[in-house]
Amino acid sequence: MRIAAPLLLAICLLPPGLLEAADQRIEFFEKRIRPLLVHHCQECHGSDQQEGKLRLDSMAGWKRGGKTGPAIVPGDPSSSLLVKAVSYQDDRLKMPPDKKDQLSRQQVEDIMTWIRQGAIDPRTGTSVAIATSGMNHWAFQPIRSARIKKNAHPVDDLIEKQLRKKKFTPTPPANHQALIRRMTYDLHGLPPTRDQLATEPGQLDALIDSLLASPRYGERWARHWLDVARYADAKDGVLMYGDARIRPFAYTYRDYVIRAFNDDKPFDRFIREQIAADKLGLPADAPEHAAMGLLTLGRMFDRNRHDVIDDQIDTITRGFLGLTVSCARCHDHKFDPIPTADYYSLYGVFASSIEPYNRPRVGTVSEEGRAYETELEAKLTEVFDKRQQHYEFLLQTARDRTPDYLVQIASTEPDLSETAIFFLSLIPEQLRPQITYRWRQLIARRAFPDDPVFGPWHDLMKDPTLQVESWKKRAVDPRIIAGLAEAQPRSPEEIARVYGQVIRSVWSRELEIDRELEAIKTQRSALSSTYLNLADLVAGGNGLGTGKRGQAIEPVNGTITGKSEGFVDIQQHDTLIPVPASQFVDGVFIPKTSTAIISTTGLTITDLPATSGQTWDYFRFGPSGGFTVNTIDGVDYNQPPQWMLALHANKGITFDLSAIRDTQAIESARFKALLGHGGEKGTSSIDFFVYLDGKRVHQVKGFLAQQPGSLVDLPLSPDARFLTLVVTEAGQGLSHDQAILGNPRITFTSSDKNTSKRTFELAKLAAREESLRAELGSRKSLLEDPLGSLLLSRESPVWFPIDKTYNYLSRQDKDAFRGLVNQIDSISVKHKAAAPRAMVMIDDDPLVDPVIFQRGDPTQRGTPVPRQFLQIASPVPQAPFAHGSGRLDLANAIASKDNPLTARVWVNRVWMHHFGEPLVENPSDFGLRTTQPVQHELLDYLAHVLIRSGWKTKSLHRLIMSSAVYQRSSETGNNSRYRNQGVQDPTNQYLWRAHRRRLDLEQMRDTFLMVSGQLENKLYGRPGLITDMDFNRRTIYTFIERQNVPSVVKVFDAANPDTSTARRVNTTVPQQALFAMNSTFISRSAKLIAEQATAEKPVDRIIQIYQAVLGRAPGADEITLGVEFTTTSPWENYAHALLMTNELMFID
Amino acid sequence: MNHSYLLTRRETLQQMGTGIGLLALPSLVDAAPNPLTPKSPHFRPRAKHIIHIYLNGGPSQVDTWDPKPELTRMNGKRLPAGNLTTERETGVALASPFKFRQHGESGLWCSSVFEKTASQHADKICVINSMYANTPNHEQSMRLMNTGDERLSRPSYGSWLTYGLGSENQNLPGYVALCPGLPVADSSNWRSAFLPGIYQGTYLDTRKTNVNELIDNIKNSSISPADQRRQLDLLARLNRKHQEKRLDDPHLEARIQSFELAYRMQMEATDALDISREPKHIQERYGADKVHGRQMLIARRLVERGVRVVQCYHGDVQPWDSHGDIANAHRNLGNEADGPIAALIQDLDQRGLLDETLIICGGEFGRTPAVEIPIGSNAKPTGRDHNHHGFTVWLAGGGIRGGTVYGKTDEFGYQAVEDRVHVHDLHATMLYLMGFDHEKLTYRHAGRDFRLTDVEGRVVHPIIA
Repeated sequence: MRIAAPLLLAICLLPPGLLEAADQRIEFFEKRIRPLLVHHCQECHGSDQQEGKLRLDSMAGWKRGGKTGPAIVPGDPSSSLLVKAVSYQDDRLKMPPDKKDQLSRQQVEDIMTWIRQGAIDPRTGTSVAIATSGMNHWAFQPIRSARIKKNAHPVDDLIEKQLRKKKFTPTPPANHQALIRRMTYDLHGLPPTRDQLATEPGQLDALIDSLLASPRYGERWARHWLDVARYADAKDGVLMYGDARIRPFAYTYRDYVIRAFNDDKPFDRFIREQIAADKLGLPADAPEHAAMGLLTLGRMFDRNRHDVIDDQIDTITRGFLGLTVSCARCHDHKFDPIPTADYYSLYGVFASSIEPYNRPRVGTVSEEGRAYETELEAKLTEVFDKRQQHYEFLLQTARDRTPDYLVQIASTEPDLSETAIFFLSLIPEQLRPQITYRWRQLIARRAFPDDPVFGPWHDLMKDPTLQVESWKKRAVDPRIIAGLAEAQPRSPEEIARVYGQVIRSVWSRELEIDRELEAIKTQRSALSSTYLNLADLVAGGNGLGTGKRGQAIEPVNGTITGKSEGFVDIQQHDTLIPVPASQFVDGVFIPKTSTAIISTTGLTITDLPATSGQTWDYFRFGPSGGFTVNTIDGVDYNQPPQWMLALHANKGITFDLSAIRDTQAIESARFKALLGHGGEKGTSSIDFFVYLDGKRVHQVKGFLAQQPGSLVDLPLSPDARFLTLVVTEAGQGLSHDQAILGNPRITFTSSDKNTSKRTFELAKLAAREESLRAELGSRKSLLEDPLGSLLLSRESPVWFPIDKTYNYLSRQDKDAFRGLVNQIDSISVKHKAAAPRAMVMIDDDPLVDPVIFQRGDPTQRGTPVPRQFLQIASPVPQAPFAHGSGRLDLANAIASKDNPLTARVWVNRVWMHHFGEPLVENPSDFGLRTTQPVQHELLDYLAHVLIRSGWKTKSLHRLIMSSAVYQRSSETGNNSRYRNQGVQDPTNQYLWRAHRRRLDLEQMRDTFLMVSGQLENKLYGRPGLITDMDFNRRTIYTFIERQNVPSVVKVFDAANPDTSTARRVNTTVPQQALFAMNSTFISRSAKLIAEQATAEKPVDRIIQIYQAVLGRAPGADEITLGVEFTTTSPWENYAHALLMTNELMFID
Repeated sequence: MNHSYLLTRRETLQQMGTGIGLLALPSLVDAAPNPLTPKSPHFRPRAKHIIHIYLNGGPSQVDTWDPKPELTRMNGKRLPAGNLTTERETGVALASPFKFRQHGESGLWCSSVFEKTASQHADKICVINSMYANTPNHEQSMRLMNTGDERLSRPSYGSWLTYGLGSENQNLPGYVALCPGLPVADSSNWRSAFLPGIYQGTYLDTRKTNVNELIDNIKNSSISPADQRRQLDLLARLNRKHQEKRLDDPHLEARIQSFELAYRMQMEATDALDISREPKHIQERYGADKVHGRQMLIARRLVERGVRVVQCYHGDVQPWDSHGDIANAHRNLGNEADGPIAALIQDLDQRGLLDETLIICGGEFGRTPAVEIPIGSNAKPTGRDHNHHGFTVWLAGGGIRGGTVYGKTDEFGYQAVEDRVHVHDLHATMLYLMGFDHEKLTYRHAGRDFRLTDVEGRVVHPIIA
C-alpha cells in the first residue's frame, strides 16, 4: 500500500545523479519511445493483434517475448531482437515489414539508447493480468436471480435448500415478545414501547410497517452507513482543540443520511448524490448537496493531499464496491485484479475536485441567522482578496526570479524538499522548491539538441564554450544566442543566469509596456480629475485610487507597507525621512523638540510644541491599530466612498505640491479635510497644525475625543511647494491621541488648471501610448513566443492554479492565511443559528490528468492514465470519463444495475445488521480472497430484488424480516442436535438459528435514556457532547470526535472514524462494567427510574421497575430477590442493578 | 470459562491464521477468547516490558549524548559542507553550551544535562547516535516514532505488542501512556487504529494527583463499597437466572465475569497509581513531589504489575523543542528529567526488573548543530531547529548491551553517517527484544496484512547483549 515516506528515504540514499537519471530515463521513454511503439509497432503487437505472439504494449509483453524469444535484453542493444528487426539488419526479420514504414536512423538510435540505459519501461499494470486472474471470481459475475418454489417465502426457500443439504434442523420461532424486541432494536435501535409490546401475534407485518414509517428508523440505519462513511464531526491534526476541532457543517451530512433512509431514497440515487450531487442539476440550495460530505469529512492527514485522496478512494471503493482499491496505490493489487493504473484513474477524479471555501447554503436563513450570513460574506471576500493578492505576487516574483531559479538548477543537485514540501517553513526570499523542481523537469525534458531554447544547455553545462554558428544552424532562438554571445559566460551558473535573464526580459518588457500603458491611463484621468485623495498618496497611490486601503508609511524607513505596529522604535526625531515609493509624499518625521526639518530641501520649522517623541503605528490610509473610532459627526470615514488618513500623535508628514501640480497641470488649489479624533477615550486631546512652506497657516489646539469635526479649508497658492501636516500629543500623555482626517484632499476647479500645459501633457501621453502600442503590435503574443510562453503559459514551471496558492506561501504568510481561512469555520461554529451549509466538492480548474506515481511516490511520476472506472467492473472497452472531473461518471458506473458488486455489497450490509453476521464474511472486501459465501444464491436473489424494486432498502427489510429465518429463536437450550450443528457450523453460516447480540453503544445509551424517561426525540441539527449530562438526544446526534475520543465511546467499540468501518469489533472488557457500575450517566438513569416507581408496596414498585427497565413483569423468585435487596439498599441501587443486567444488554 | 474479552469468532479464527498463535486454543463451541490472554511471542523474549521515556519536542543530540569537538571549534562559522534542509532556516555552527564528560568503566560520553543518569548508569546504557527519521516536523515524526507511519492511521507499537502478547494482569490495561497534558498529535500517538480498541494505549493525565480521577469511572461516589458489593451480588443472581436457558453463549458469561474483574480493577488500578504507598525514601529518590518523578514511579509500579508498555511523555505539547535559548531550556528540562530517570533505572535494577524491562529514552528527532535563524522578530539566534537527519536514542535493560555506543553522526552531528538506524529499524529491534519477528506480527485489514514496520525495518543485532 502506501510506502511513500520510506521510499523517499531510500531514494535519498541513492547518489543524486542516479535519481535524476532514473527520472530522465522515464522522460526519455515517454517522449521518444512510447510514441514510436504506439505508432509503428502496436497495431500488430498490441491488444488487438499479437503477431508472432509478441506484444509491445507492456513491459511484460516484451519481456515474455514472442515465438523467437524476448524482444529486448535490457542494457544490450546488440543482443536485442527488436533492434535487429527495426534496423533491418537481418533479411528474415525486418520490422515494420513495409519498407516505407521503416524507422528513421534517429528513431533506431533512440531505441538503442533506451535499451542501453536499461530499457526502463513504466508500462506495468496490464490488462493481461486482469483477464486471467479475476474474471472467474464469483463476485465479478453478473447477478443471477434464483428460481423460487411457488408460494414459498423466497428467503426461506433458499435457506432451506442449504439446510437440507446439511441435514440441519433450524431452531423454532422465537418467543413473541422476544421477536418484537428484536424488531424494534433492529429498525429503531430502541427497546419496544408498551404499545409495541402489545402487538398481536398475527400483526407483525403491521408492526414492521409502522416501525419503517417512523423517523426513529432513519436515526438507527443512518448510523450503520455513517460507520462506512467514517463520519465524524471533528477535524484531526495539530492544534485541533476546542472550537478549532469542530467541522461546523458536518452534521448536514449526517442529517442527509437520516433523511435518505427515512425517505427510502433509492440506493443508486444515494450513491450518485454522495459522489456527485453538484452534477445532478439540483437547485443550488437543495439539501442533497450535503450528501457530498462523504467525500469531505475524512481525516486531514496534515494536509497531505495524496493521503486525503487515498482516503476518498478507499471509502468509496470499499464502501460501495467491496473492493480494496487502495491496495493498488504503490503496486498492482497483490490479490485482486486492480492494477495501479486503475488506482490513479480514480486518483485523477478526486484530484480534479476541490472543496470550495464558500459552501452552498442548503436551508433557510432564520432571523437569528442573518448576522452570520453577513459576517461570513465579509470573511469570504477577505479570504479571496488575500488569496488573489498572494497569488499575483507569487507569480510575478517567480517570473522575476527566473535567473535565480536557473542558477539554482545549474549549481545544485535536486533536493528532496523540492518534491516533499509540506513540512517546510519557507522564508519570503527563498526560491519555491516546487518551482525549482518543475524547472528541473522542464529542462530535463527539453535539453535535447534540437530544442530551440534549451538545445545547447547540456553541452554548455559540461563545457561553456560557445558554438554560435552551430546553434544558428540548429535554429536555436537568436535571442538566446545573442544573450550568450554578449555575456560570454564562463561557468554553469553564469550560463544559467544568462538564460534566465533572456527569458525574463521577454516577459518583463511586455510587463513594463503594460504597466506604462496603465500609468498613461491614470495620468490621463488625473488630468481631468478635480481632486486628489491624500490618504491614497500615503498608501502609495496616485491620489486617484490606485493605493490600497490599509497601507501605510513606516516612519523609521519611509517604506510603504501593509504591516502595523504598536509603539514604533524611533531612532531619529525631528528630521525628515524621505518616502521614495511616492513621488507626492516628500517625507515624514516624528517631532520631539520645537525644531524639525520638514522637507528634503532642508526646510526647518521652529515653533512646534515639545513632545515625548513617542508614536503609535504608522501614517495610514484607514485607522491605526488599537482602540479607534472611525466616525466624525456620525459618518464612518473608513467606509468607501469616504476615506481617511490616520495620524496617531506625534507625527508630521510633508506633501510635495509641485509634483502634484506637474501631474495635474494645475496652478492653484485648496487643501480640505475634516479633522476628527479617532481615540476612544474622552480625556485624550491633540494639537493639529498645517504648514505651507514652513509657515504655520492653520492650527487646532486641544482637540478632544468625541468632539465634533473641525473643517480645514486652505488655499494653496501657485508658488507653494510643501504642505506639512503635524499632529502632537497636546501635553497630557499619548494614549488614544489619534487624529483622523476625513476625506483629506487637494481640490481644484477648471480655473485652477493650466489649459495649455494640460493640452501639451495630453499630447505627450498620446504619443507615448502610440509608440508603446506599436511596440506591442510588433511583438509576438507572449504565449506564442517560445521564450515568453516559458513564463506565461499554463505549462510554465512558474504557473500554478490559484487554489494551490497556500502551498507556495512563506511560513508567516501561510500561518496568517490559514488563520484567516480557519475563521470561516470559527464564525460558523460561533453562530449557533447559522443556516445549514453543505460540505461539497466541485470540479477544479484545471482538471488533473493523472499519472501513475511509481511505488506510490508522488515524486516518481510515471505513465499517464485517463480518468476512468476500474477495469474489472467496466464494460469492454473501458472508456475515459467524459464529464469534468468524472465524479458523475464514476457515480453512474458504481450505481449501475449492471455493476455486479454494488447491489451485492449493500444487501450484505443490510443482512448483517439484521442478523449480526453478514452473508459475505468481509462486508467491504468482495475480492478474490473472499470465497463464495454459502448463501451465494440468497445474496444474489436479494441483490436482484433490490434492483428490481428500484433500489428500495425498505422493501428489503420487509422481505428479510417477514422470513421464518429472521424470526427463529436464538436459544439452543441443552439440545444435543443443536450442539452438534454448532460444532459443524460454529459461525452459523447455514442460518439454522438466530444470533444473540449485545447492544452497541448507541442502542445502549438510547435505551438508558428511554427507559428512564429522559430521551428527547428531536430530529436533526447541530451535535451535542456525549459527556454533556444535559444532552438527552439520541446518540447519533452526539459529537463524533476524532481525537481524544471519550472513554465511553472507545470502550463500547464504536466505529473508529479514521477509516471506513465495515463491521465494529465486539469486545467485553472490564472498562464497560466500570461504566455500568460507576458512571454518573447510569446512576442518574437509575435514580430517575426509582423516582418514577411510586407504588406504595415494595412488590408493586418492583413490578413497576421491571416494566420500565425490561418491559416485562418479574417472576415470583425475582420479586423475592427484589424485596430482599430493597429492604436494606436504596431503590435506586436496585434499578441500577437491573440496568446492568445481561437481559437488558442482549437481544435474543 | 474465564474468558472476558471477546472478538467475534470469525475474527479470532481469521487472526489465528495470519497473525499470532494463541497460547491456548479454546474449544470450538464455548470459545470466547480473551484478546488480552497472555500469549507467547514468536521466540524467547529478552524483555517483557517497555518503559519509553519520551522526551517529546526533540532533544538535541549534540548537547546530550553525542559530543562534537569540531562543532565547538567551528562555533560561529559556516559549516563547510553546508546545512541540511530542516523545517526552518539555519545559520552558522552553534557550539554546545554544555560540558561533556566520560562516565563509567565504558567511558560513555554525556553532557551535564543527563549527568545523574550517566554517572550512575553509563555501563547499562547503549547509546544509538545514528538514528534518523523522515521529516523535521513534530506531528509526523511523533507518529512515525509511535506508529511507524507519519500520517496514516496505523496502530502504535504499544498496541501491536499488546495485540501480540496480551496482558499479564487482567486488572490493568496492557498499555499505558502517561503525560502531564498531551503531546503533539495527542491520541494518535497511542492509537490502535484498525486493531481492536482494547489494544489502544490508556492515557493518564499525570497532572491529576487524585488517583480516582486518573481513570474514568474507577469509583462510584454515591454508593459505598459494601452497597456496591451487594448490588453486584444481586446482579450476578439475576444474570445467572437469565443464563439458565442460554448456557451455550460465552458472551453472556464473559459479561458476567467482566463485572467481577471491574470490581477488582477498582482496587488494583488505584493501588498501582497510588504512589503514596511507596516508602518515603523511594518517593524522595524519584523526586515524586514533582510530576516527572511521580510518573516515573507510576511507570515502575505498573510494570511491576505486569503492564507491557508504559510511555512517559515529558510534558504537554513539545517541551524539548528548544528553538531559542537552548542553553537554559535544555538545562531546565534536564533538571526535570535526569534525576527521575536515574532513580527509575536504579529502582528497577534493585528489584531485578531491569533485565526484563527495556528502557528507551529519546525524542521524535534531534536538533540542528547549526543555529536557527528566528523568523520575523528581533530575537537573537540561540536555539536549534528540528533535525531528522541524525539524532540520539538510548536504550537500557532487557537484552541491551550496556556501556556501548552504536552508529555515528558526521563530525558536526548533523546527519547519521555510520550504522544508520531508521525508526523502522528501532521498531524491528524493539519487537525482536520482545520476542517477535517484525515481519510476522501481522493483522489483516482492508484487504491486506499490515505490520508495524510496513515494508521496512531490520533488527540492529549489535546492540543486543
